[in-house]
Amino acid sequence: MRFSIKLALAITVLLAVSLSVGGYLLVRQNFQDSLQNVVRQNLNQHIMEKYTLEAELLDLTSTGIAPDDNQLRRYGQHLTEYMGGGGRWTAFYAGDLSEIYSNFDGRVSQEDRLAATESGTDNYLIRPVEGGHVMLLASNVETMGRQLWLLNGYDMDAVFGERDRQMANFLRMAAIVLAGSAVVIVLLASRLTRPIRRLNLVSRKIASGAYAVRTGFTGGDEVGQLGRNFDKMAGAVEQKVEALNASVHQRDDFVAAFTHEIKTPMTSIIGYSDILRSTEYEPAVRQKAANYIFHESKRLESLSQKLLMLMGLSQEQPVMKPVQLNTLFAVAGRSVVPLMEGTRLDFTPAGAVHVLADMDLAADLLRNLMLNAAKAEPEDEAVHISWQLEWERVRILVRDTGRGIPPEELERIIEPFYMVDKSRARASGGSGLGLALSERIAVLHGGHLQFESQVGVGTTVSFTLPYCEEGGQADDNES
Amino acid sequence: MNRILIVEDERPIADLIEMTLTQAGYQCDIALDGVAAADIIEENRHDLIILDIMLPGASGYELMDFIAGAAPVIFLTAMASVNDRVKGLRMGADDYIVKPFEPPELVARVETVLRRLGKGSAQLIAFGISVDTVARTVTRQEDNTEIALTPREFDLLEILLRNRGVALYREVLFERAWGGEPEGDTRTLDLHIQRLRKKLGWQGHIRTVYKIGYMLEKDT
Repeated sequence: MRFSIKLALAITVLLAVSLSVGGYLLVRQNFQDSLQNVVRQNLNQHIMEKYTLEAELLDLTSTGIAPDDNQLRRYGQHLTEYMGGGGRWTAFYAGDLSEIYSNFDGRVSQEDRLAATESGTDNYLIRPVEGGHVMLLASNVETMGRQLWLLNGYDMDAVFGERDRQMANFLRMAAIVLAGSAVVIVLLASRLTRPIRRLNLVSRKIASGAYAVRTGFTGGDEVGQLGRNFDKMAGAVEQKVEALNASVHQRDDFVAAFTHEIKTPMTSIIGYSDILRSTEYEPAVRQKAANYIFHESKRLESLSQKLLMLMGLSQEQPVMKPVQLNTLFAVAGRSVVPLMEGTRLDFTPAGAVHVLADMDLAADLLRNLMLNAAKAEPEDEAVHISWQLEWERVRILVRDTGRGIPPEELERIIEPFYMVDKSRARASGGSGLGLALSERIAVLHGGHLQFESQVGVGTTVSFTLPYCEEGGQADDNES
Repeated sequence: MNRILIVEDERPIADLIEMTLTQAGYQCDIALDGVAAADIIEENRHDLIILDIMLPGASGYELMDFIAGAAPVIFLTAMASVNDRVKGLRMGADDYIVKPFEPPELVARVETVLRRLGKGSAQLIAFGISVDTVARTVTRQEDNTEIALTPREFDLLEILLRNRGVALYREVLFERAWGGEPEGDTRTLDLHIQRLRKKLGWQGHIRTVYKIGYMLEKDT
């Protein structure tokens, strides 16, 4: 059952119960009040009749003779004639409860009448009779040693009839009011629960993969807040899913590139060795095949080494120590010079500037950038290494006047296995992992590689290292 | 003689394919990137194109549109997933080879594709003997009589015919004909070669090369 229907039903039932209870109590109160009035009236009437009877008896006994039954009967008939019928009855009984006079008709039974006398003076009975209720009153009158009972009966139809009429009226009215309000309540409940249905719909959509759906609630009540929080949550989920997809995509790209990188040398090695072992070729062909096998194996070797390093870097934390910038330049330069094939290194002296770095990694990074610069075939046959202070960091720039990198390549240049010029990179032993590694090292030191390049003019690659005030300061902090 | 275009950006692999196919009797041209390949394809001089997928300039898939059925294509791919292969075949490739491959596999695939398209011949002919590699029958041409060979003998003959004028190592011959590495000695191989020589009357043509193995002479 829908929530709004449940809500409407609950409210309607509550309304019906409270209306019925209220109406019943009201009708009952009215009835009690008018009953009391009528009872008091009838009591007065009865007392009056009693006095009249006593007066009559006094009159009759003034002669000194006790009145007999006939006299009383006459008096009764006289009284009946005088007062008329109309729902009132009178009866006289002797002390032994034998009837002297009665104008009661069959509606009130003999037992009821006797019961009234038993209840005694000043008490009354209300008895249901055929077609209504009757109030019975009995009083004991004593005259000259003779006991007499005066019994009065009064018709109560007016009071009870009024009560039934009121009850019927009330029920009719309550039914109309309930029907009307039920309609209003259903509409209201439906309107109040609309946000819940919306929330339900939205969450179902999100569950089925439509992460961009939002409730768009703006209200300030709890439901509005719930909606806003739900939207926030959906936003966070969407972001996470996107990030996850991106990383899966990245990994797929990496695996595809890696597969390609590893299968190419494999193909050469398998193919050329098969040629060598199956047939007796002339020495020139043999030489060529063996050469390929050798170089492609070396390539696989360097690829696996670099890959291991890349994986290692993402797990280990670098050991950061204060390093004099000049020392870093010297270490990196020394190992690179033999590979530069005539290209000069031009360092800007760094004086006493210290940086906080993992010496081995930073030197590796710098060496890699210098080698790349040398491979760009700079026109002035030099690689320029300079530095500058930037806030709390030192920027190290490696500049060449080589062939430059096209702008569309710059974005992808640090992706693993990405090579701007594949055949040239291969020829000079590139694995496509060098810049990916360099970027990883730069990130470990809290920065990124930055490229500025113009085709035909040259390239400047830079990265930053944390600046270190004094050589020993960081050591003090550590201890 | 069929002309084959090799589109492959890795020089060592391009050379490998060229070496293998030239040996198998094809004439080869090499294009090292997509743009150069497009220029050569335009001339439409080739009976078959061996196409690498990952190419600088234009990818192999892009070149497929360009070729548009002008010549049969064998895809060369490092991506071994079913999806990649299906994609290549859907785009109209006739076959694919997954790296790394062995040279004989390459030759076999090239021949199959060419034969299917009616460009290649299933007939290998030498010294008056005609060999049908599809029907696997051997016929003496002068009197048109069929020579009965065992399957192993036939395989050996085919290998020799495909490598005419080249000395083949005994181990490799055995491995290719029998499948699997030789266990201990290769006397079985010698026995089969003797029987082949006798059946075909090629005593002088299948030469024993000292310390290496056997070689089928070229027609003079």
